[in-house]
Amino acid sequence: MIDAFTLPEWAALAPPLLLALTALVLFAYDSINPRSTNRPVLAGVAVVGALASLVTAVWFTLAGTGADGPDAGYDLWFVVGDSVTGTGAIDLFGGQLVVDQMALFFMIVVAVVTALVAVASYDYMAGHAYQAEYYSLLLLAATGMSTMAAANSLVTIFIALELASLPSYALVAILKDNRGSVEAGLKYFLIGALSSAIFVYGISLVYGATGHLQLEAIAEMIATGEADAYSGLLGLGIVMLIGGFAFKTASVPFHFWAPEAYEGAPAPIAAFLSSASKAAGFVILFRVFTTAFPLETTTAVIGLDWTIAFIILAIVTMTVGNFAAATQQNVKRMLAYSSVGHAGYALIGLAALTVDGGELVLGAAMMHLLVYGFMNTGAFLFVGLAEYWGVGRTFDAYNGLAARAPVACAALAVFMFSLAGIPPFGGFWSKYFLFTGALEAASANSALLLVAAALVVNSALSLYYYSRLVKAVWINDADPSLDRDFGGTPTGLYAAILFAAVMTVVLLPAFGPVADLAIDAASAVLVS
Amino acid sequence: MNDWIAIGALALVGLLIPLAMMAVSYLLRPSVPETSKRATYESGEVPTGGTRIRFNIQYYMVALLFVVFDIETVLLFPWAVIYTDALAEYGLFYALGPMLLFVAILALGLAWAWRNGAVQWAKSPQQVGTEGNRP
Repeated sequence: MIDAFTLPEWAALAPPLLLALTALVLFAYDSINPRSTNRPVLAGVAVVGALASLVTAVWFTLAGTGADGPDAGYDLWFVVGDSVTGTGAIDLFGGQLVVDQMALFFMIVVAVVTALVAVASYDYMAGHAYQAEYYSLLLLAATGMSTMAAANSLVTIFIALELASLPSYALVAILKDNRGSVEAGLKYFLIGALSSAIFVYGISLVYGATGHLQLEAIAEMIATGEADAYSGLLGLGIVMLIGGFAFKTASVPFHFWAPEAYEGAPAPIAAFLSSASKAAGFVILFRVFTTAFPLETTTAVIGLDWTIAFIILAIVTMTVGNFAAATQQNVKRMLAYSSVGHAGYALIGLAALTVDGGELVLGAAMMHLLVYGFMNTGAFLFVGLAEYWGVGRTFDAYNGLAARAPVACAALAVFMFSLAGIPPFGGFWSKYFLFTGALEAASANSALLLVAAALVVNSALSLYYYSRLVKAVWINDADPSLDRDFGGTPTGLYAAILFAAVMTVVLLPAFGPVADLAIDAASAVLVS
Repeated sequence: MNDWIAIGALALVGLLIPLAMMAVSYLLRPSVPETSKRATYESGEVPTGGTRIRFNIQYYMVALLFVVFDIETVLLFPWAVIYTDALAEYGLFYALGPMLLFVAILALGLAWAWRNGAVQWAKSPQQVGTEGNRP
């Protein structure tokens, strides 16, 4: 390998650091020039910061930072840490943070969604007074999510989670004169506070049982049998941790905030929360359960296989989400419940883990979250476009939109069919991998057959309500009595929607490298 | 005997004692209903107005800014205690740099809050009318 330049190890955290720096730049701008409504500058800074974070995360991934094996990565002109890439995960600050392939994978997801949301907000938030505050809160929340991807100790996980949550509450309620937005913000905050309390109590119980907060140290205490005396305490702590993660990922039993918060929030924020925030919740869920509670030793201590909890949660979450989505009349609520359903699909990644395998299905869950980051963000941004035009909120109000905006409606069709998992789009592959992964694991645990069946049934059901929206915009005619006055064509929203649509399609042929990366990342965390 | 039985018994007794005291006083006391007993402050000022008044947001802002400096002190103090040792071991950049960065971030936050009017106290109604009420 030819390395022209070696960065210090902490530079591996560049993706979240760049996001934090951008947020501070926005704060500085707002301090010098308070109440500025110079949207091009503010949105531009936010987009540049998110893109810089994205580029560094992609670059590190390509360069093999944090990867295992000498031939990981390509010869790029700088590397992080040792002058040879492929030396394994980079531990920082005594293992409190770790940068490995999984962390970089989710940093990419967060950065992409942040960039899309920042571009779309340029039009959506036009005429709004709190411009600088909006973008800096967005970037701060993204910093938290990006740090969640790297957090490797229960303390850093909690701090990163709060850093992501607190700006999110304010962002949901940022339309201060809109009762729906304020109500959504309050509900989100109250449920978030409750679940944070449960989560931190779970952390305290795990700490009480093992005496450690760092994830590898917890695993070691469990493996050496020093936690045997507190098996009940540890089990209860694990259940409470699951409760905290369920809130962040919007899965049962803490899913009911999602439709309320997404419906009231500005549409770009709903897109941000349902894609980036969910992905960040899943990365800590994956990391905690694969690193701190390895299946075999933990089962020996607490006497119960934790995959059972995820099997139940996955089936219940996807069923509740999809059945509730099928009955909605409001498009945003339908998408919110569908995002609950997708959390159920991603939970299969943990449900189908077995003692000696599961990297395929865990990798599939990560791929699903990446594809979901594009298709779901795009779908919510389409709702944002409709709100920008003042179209209305129900399926009926969307009738005949294709006559006005054929390009955006074509993108919407791509998102909907991809969310449903129809072959020519990216959503098909990730669901297919989840399905085969679940079937593979079924040889060890026949309950996984039930999970696979639920996945198929729910996908079929989801096709019904996704195609209903496509039918509304393309086939149904607009109510002629409605005199709809569309504004101009918002460039930013269009650009974000089209980019998301293109990526949803392009990910299908490009699925090979993405799948390799995700499965590599999954096997790295499963082995360690 | 399991330790938990003792804890359970303690909890039970802890619950029973106040309940028993309330029950005994209910049985013993005479009942003299009188309107002044139902006032908010039985032997104090007569309250005026409702209880649902709105507090000025300024109280909250000042409390929030106080918390910022409180946390700063909590982190600065142990750092100052070990600073000389850390300087000898890690050098100026790694001993002083992170704390300067931390204080700089806090200072930026304070500057932002200041510029955006978080420490402007008690505006008169005219001031509020001219510059408040942003959409």
